[in-house]
Amino acid sequence: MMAEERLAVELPGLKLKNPVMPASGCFGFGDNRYAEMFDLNELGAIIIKAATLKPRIGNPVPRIAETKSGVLNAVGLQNPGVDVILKEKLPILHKKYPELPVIANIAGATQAEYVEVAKRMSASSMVSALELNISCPNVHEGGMLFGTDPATAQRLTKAVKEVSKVPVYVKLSPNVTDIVEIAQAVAAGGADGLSMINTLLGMRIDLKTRKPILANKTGGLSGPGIKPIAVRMIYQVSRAVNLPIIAMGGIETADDVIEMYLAGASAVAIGTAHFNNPTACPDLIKALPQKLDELKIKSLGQLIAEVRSAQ
Amino acid sequence: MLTKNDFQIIAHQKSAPNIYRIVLQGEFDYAKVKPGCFVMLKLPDEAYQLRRPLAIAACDAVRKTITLIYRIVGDGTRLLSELAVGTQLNVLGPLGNGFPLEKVEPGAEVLLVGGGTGLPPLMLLAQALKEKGCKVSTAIGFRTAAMIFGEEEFECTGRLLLATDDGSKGFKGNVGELLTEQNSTSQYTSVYACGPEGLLKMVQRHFSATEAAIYLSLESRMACGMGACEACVVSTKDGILNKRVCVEGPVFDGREVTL
Repeated sequence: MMAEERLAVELPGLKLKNPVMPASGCFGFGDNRYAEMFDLNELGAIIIKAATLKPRIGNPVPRIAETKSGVLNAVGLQNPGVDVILKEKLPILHKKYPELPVIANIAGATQAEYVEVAKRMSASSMVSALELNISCPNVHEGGMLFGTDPATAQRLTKAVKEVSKVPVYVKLSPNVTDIVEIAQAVAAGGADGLSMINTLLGMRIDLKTRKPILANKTGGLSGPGIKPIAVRMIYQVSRAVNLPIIAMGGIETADDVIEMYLAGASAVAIGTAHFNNPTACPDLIKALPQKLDELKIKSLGQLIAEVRSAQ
Repeated sequence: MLTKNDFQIIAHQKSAPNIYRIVLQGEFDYAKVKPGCFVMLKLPDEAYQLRRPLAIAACDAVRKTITLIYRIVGDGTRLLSELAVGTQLNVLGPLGNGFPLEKVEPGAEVLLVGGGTGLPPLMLLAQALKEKGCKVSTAIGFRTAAMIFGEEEFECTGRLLLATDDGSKGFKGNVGELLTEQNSTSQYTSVYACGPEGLLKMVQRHFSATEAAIYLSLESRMACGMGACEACVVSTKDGILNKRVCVEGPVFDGREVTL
């Protein structure tokens, strides 16, 4: 089997030559210096930064703080708004990388805003799927509030599905007592897939000022420190809900990728790892075939099938 | 070209309390280095998820070395300070836009203003301005005489105006008070500053009514350094939090940026 075929995976709306994609918020709209370090065509797909209806300035600075084995961020969904993204950002990305599948992360403060953003974004031929962000911990309206109550999450998913022209992946928050309950609710709402997990709500306090380091006080924790939580949640959800899962949460190495597949994932997104290693995604894509050989895995497609049948 | 290559530590010593000077040797795009540019160092411990952004204080394209000067501010920089000569460190860079040297004429009288860890980029700048034939004055401030570093570098490039808060060396007071006392704001065609926010605001206040061009190099908490994460944003007169220190900066027009 060709190396490329071994890594290929198929998810609703997404035919990916490999399962590796930058996570939303860590890669902008592809309009940054990462493109100077590798060819974005190597990526399986790209999940672009969250879009809201109107431009958002985001939170005051500091927006970032380091923790042992993690990073806290409170950027606050800064973005130029869905119309500017569609008119200015996506055409540049699409022109440079016409074959690169784009997953558009969408957010809102109200259900009506989510629906409007979904309608406009999914109408674009440059967008292969939506990632419904009901889990941002850094905004004071909407965001995570939609992802912590099953009935609200189900209602929103259903409303977005009704207007979306492309498959909808719902990005789940780990800041809940029972993530399975939320996953079942969005599945009932018609979700085509899940993205999990978003960041965990955290805080760091400066010893000298005695105040939180982040201007927003709290932030979302990401990085290898949260990987075991992601693995556990994907494991639980994949057994309860029959939807493909894009896994994220501290993935750095090919070992991490395989671990996510064994938990029940179908694809992976990389966020925090970019900060130490700007070529984290292409490095992973290169390392995966050897890891598959080592573990005697024929292909990722077959691994998904084996994991599913063993559940 | 932007690269992330392993460099070797070829010198590493303490310059002042909590201030260290590190010389790294390795390959990267030396031609792209301008005063004000920075690199991001990866710490050799996987527990640290963020690289450390540090301005380039000296650069030698022939010997393939860069010099960085940093202050111990937390566990990460403490770990860095303990690394021995010979250790490999991964360097991402060169990053950021430097000071716009092309905008200053040979023979021009220029002023550099710095404090704390704002001094390193000014060292490379002072050298470049001197080579360009500018008359360089540098005003730098420290808490006390024991904290002083960089004195020799700035004496080599022109006139040095030194201030200490306690008066243990040079002018007694801060750099702002020193400049007020000197009462010589109108002679400079360009003013370049790097340091704590208070110092940069002082420079804005002091020189905004003059003819001098003002360039401020900003420090910020950064995550990616690549213009992707929006962590290091700063406001300008054109908008709130609309510029990224890592790609549009770290040097900004002092009349454009809002601190």
